[in-house]
Amino acid sequence: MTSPLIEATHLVKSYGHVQALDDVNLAVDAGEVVVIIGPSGSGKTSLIRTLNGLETIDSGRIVVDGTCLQDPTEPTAMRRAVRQEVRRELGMVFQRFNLFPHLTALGNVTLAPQRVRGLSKREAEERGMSLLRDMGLEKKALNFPHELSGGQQQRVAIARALAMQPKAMLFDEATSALDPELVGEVLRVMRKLAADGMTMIIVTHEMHFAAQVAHRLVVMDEGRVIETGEPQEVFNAPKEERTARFVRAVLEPESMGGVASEHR
Amino acid sequence: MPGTEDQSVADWIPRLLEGLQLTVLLTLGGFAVALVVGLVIAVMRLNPKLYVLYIPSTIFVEIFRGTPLLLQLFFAYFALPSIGISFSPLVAGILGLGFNTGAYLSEIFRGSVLSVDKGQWEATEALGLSWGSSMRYAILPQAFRIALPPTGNYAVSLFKDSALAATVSVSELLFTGQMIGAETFQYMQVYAVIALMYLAVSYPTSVALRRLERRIDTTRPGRKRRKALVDA
Repeated sequence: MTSPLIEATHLVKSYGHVQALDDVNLAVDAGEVVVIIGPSGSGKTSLIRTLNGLETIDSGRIVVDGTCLQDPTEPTAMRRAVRQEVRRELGMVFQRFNLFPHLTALGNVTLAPQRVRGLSKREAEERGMSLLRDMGLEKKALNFPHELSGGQQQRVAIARALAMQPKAMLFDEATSALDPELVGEVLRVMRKLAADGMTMIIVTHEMHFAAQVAHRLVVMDEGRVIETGEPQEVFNAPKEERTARFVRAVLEPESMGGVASEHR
Repeated sequence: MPGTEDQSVADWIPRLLEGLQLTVLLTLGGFAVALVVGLVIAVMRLNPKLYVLYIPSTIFVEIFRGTPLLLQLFFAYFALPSIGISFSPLVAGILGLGFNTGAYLSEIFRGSVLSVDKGQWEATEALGLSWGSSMRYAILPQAFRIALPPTGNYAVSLFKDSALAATVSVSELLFTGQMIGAETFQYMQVYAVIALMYLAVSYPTSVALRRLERRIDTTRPGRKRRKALVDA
């Protein structure tokens, strides 16, 4: 019973010459909130996308809730049916929302429960409305995505993932495409989910949010996990020089005048 | 009867209307064939790595796009009987027009499916939807909106191209007109009426298609909404 909900071991993935993942290990227990941080190009997004099979790995092994999702040495591991089974237990929230533009907010939220879980339309809509209410969007249920703000769209996307009643939620830079004033409403929803005990793996650039919500921080750089620990430890007393540099850069952007002028 | 020049317009208009009926039948039949052919070929060509499906469907498209429609009609009506396959003129016309248009439509459909944002596929995959469900409920509805305007154009085009079926002796509108012209020498009147008849069908069709395009455009405000079963 003590085996982790999601266990990734020795993940390796490269695109041509770029080593996206270089022997990455990650185990996440049920109820745990793990936040992955690191400079862009460090492999965070690759890691989270391999965890539900949106991207394949060159070698290594991913086991979700006892089912092997990815293992290039096992011919059965990547079978479509297995992949679908595992994916329905993992909710995913994308940077660019990826809502279905031809469906209303409610239509987005009810599609998969009906087609994958076999719920009736009524059951799916009841579940969907209650989730949209939790997101503060009950009045927007019959609006189409293009009629919603970015923050509202992302909250619909979170409701859509939750409607499958997943065992864990994956957030891939869920607030990076939002206007700054809309970031808060999405983070609030995520914070509430974490408080409710949802297992979450979060890739984000919001360091204050990470510090508040994470049980464990994972710092990545150049495709490797360079440090992992409680947020206070990592932020205040990083063991690695690279972590320290990254933390300084993101917490005090104004002190990085040199970087800013480089971008001119 | 040749030479009976005293025939009035009212005498030959009913014959033209019969011709128009056949033209419409050719178009509807041909378009139905084209939609099925186009959809099947498009799906076969979606994944170039599935050689068994991709290669024959690609050959099909290249043959039908690379040779004249007239030749295809001649094949269907004059050449195939010599290997034991014969059709009536109408069926030959419908098949020739349908397969030709289908080859073009397949490219439109394939392009439309491929132009749906990759993130949409990822969203369906992340939700655990099967390939079939993803296609049916997420991808095709979006591809349909993209494909509708060019597909409508091909429908109108097919309506006009159906005149080529005259060459395999389908007595459609233009063919009937030529007969009447030869009988009455009232070419000006006959062809003017024929032109009006083509326009009387094609123009309302174009307008209706434009309306349909606007109606299914979800990004347009004020679109009618379905009620939810559950209250907010």
